[in-house]
Amino acid sequence: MAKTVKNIYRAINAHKLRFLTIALVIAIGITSFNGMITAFVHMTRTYDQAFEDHNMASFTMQTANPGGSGEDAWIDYANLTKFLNEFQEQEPRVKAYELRIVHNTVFEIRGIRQNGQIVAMSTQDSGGNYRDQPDVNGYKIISGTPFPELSRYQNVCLVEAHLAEYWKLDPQEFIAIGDTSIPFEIVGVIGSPEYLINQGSFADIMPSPRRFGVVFLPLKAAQSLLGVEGRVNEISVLLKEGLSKNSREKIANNLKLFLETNYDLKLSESVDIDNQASYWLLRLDIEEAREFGIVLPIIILGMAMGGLYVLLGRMVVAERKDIGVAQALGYDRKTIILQYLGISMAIAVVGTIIGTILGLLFLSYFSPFYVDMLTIPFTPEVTIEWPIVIVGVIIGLLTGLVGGYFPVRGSIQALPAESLRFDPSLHITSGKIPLIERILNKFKIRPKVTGLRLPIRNFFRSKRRTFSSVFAIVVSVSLISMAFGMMESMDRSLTFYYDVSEDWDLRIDFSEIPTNASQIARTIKQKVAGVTDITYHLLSGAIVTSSESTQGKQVSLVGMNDSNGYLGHTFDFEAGDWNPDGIVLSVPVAEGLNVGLNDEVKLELPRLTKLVSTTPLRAHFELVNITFQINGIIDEFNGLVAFVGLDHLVEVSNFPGEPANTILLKIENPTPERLELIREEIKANYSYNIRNIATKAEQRGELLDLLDLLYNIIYIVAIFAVLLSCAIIYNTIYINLQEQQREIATLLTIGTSNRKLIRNVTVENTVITLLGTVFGLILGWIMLWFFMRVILDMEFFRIKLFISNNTIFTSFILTYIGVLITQFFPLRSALNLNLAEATKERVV
Amino acid sequence: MSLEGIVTLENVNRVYHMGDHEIHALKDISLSLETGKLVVVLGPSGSGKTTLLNVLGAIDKCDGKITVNDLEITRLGKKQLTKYRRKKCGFIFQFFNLLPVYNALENVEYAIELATNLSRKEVTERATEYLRKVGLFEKRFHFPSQLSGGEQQRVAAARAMAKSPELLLCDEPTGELSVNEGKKVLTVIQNMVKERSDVLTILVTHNQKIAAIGDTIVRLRSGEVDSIEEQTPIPAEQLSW
Repeated sequence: MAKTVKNIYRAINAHKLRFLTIALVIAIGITSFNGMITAFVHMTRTYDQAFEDHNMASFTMQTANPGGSGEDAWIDYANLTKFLNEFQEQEPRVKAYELRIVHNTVFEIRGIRQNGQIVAMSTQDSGGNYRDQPDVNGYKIISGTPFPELSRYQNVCLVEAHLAEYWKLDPQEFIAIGDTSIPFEIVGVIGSPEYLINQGSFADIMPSPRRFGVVFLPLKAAQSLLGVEGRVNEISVLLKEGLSKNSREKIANNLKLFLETNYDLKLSESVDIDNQASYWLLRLDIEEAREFGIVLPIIILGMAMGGLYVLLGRMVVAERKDIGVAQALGYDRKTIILQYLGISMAIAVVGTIIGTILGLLFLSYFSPFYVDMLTIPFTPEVTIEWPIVIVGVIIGLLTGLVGGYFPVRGSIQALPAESLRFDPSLHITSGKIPLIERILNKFKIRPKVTGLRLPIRNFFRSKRRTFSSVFAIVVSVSLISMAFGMMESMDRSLTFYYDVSEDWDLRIDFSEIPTNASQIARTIKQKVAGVTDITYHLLSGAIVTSSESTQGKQVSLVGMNDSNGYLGHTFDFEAGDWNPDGIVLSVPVAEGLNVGLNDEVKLELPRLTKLVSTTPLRAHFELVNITFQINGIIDEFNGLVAFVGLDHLVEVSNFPGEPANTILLKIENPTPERLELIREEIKANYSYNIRNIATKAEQRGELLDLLDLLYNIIYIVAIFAVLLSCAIIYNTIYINLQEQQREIATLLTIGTSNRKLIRNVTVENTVITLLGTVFGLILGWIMLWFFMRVILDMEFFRIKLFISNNTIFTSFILTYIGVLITQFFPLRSALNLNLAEATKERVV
Repeated sequence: MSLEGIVTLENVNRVYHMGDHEIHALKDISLSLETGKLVVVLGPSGSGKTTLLNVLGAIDKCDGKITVNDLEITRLGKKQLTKYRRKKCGFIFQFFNLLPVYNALENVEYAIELATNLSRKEVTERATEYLRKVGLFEKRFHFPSQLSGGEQQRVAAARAMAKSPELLLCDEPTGELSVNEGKKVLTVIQNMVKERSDVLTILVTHNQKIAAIGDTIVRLRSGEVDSIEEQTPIPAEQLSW
């Protein structure tokens, strides 16, 4: 045993750099596994804890028309308290409830208006005593204080962290809320489990703190602000722990039935905690982190396994005579296998130890990194997850076991004599003229024996050698092209969306829908210099369903005048065409609903039932189902979008006048300075209840902020890709040259110049790189598809997969540079060989 | 005495350092060898015979002075040494050292193409001619893996001679071969020596019997020249060992 250990040590010591590179690859795999999976566990645990600590509602239920002003919009607080207490007596699983106001409104911060939501709850408990946290849907004070005891009639507020962060709001500052811009003093900044992800309305594809913010108010102050004294519009219910979704929904339905039947209240359907937007989006995000944490190490460790297989496979071929001698001397098969397996296991152990240590060291960075990217105000508690560490160690060791066992087992012959007769240099030579050379010969092209013929022959000298050489390049090119392709696909989709598809320069969003859109558009076009074209659309949220699918898709439904000249969108039809009487769906929606061209879909959208005021538009709505025929399917960046004719939408929605919530302007010579001037002019002279005027660059910037996490993940993949590529290429080229050591020595001895030798090796490696690049790009494309369509399965953004010529070229060049750099070291040692010894030596 | 056509070694020393130990592989060797002859360097293992061959072939360094037909190779730089090996030396190695990716003809062509400015056609013609001489014309398109050890060594001999070297250096050329194959290889070498009076052939062996094919026998012992004997060579076919 001691001798076996000694032999293992000697073998490793002789090839330490090569073994170290494989160990490094294993280390990277284990580091990413530990870091990413642990981050997933940390985040899941932290947010579960946050939801529990802050008593996140098991379900919420709003009034039938929570945004309106009629009887179905508000419920008396005192009565509702009585009703709920009554229900709670019947249903002991109700732990607590909270009666709140949740209302969409407008904020004005530092002179700029934006959409937002106020959430209001009482600062007193049921006994009338002051409390600093509500019973349900509590929050975490990040800075400042909770509502003070005497604040219930004061205009004070707590600002949700995303909004505070975006505007850099601090306690003691003021924020104006509502149409009449009533100032509220900020007393604190809070993190809320309800708003872990900034969500906005589902019609808003880019929820950002600038477009949507949340502010918490004392209930009385909110009632006063909205003119609904003594009333609320939402019930949040906390149930006892451990109830299934079915049980929760059953209790919610019972409550609804109880309140509607006994007290004639009108309520909307309840929203279960699992369907709560923030909860659901967060699950998606951290699930993404987990999938990455599994897939990325699988790829890396798979490559490490491949590297070990190649390395040991070629090592045992080179040492087959020694194996034969050992067998002849009486070593049994098991001992020999154990010795080589010991080498691969030693590499795996080193890699696993380094990876585990690095994983533990970086643990405190992985989870906060994700959290930071997701801008979540709850910091995960970083702890070592020993089960994950143990699984990591097992995976690392398995990599060594699998990568080492098979090549060793195959190399041991039943008869030692066979091994003793074995010539490794002949083993790596097929002894045939390669097909390509035979084809060239047909065309009378015969490279010189001292010229290109040698690298060509070397390249094709054995299938195993060619395969492992090309494998290294394929790994490199595929990883690099995939990483670059990811960035490029996103960039290109964004560029296409903003530069080609969207043809506007300035976009005006209204706080409240005006009903004279064409007049506003006409006025702006006539009076604002530089506006060359103008269009407007009406955006509405809708749920699309079909008879072909049980699931519905929430979409942004855009009502527009005509596809020709519409600044908001240039259609890229995958099927069909624009027809104002039908509907155009995006590919994910059509696929999700399992529908195609000319099929019918139903849209659930709000229909106006009672008009309160026209300017701005204030009305009561009901949800109606309208059938549309699919006239077109588009593969667009916005995944969840649908287009219908404006007139049609206005008609089915029963809107008065000419409603629009967005006007799009085309500007002549749209330099940033000019856009700024026009923006200021419109703001100053044509207020029209404008919420926001954005340039395309600003909107694009918001989107990029939203995609920040994805970009950072891609950068990490790119760094891993380059590291892995260097390690694997170095190993392969080193082995290639080592195997040819006696041949190189012979060539030098018979007078081949160093220059010619370098040229031959470089030509051979260039051919390898070129061929590997072709397969690498194919694999890169498959991996890109896998990552973008399977791992990062986003229907919000439809990213068209794209690998540009630049990326193809860059992948080749980067790999080629890697090849040239890595060939330098083994080549240098080959050129400095002791020819006297090397010409007598067997291959390594 | 004129140095034309003569290989001389003057006070040649080669010391290997093995850790703290110094091994004197060659001790103050001085020799003068004439072209057109087959010189057999004989000696037991560790006597320095291969080292002597290596320093003559400029694949190992040494102290002292070695001159090959007026060219003092011990003063040459790396590039000039490469040129020297390319143009003036032919090597026959113990382990044949053919390029496994090339067939017999291509192996010979490689050396000719490297050393001469002949056209492609002429290179092929000459390579074919030499393979015919060593009896391998029929197997000229065979790869090393398809040849026996003796055949490989005969290809190596053709490769070494086809470029018309001034020095033919043979290091235990029969060491890996059977008697019959060895005799064939030695016959090839002997025939080449007869044909080419401008070539000095040095054959290193530990086999006393093989020494009988040489015109001169240089006996080495512990890195020193023990004796130099002139003799009438006997044909290799008549050898047995």
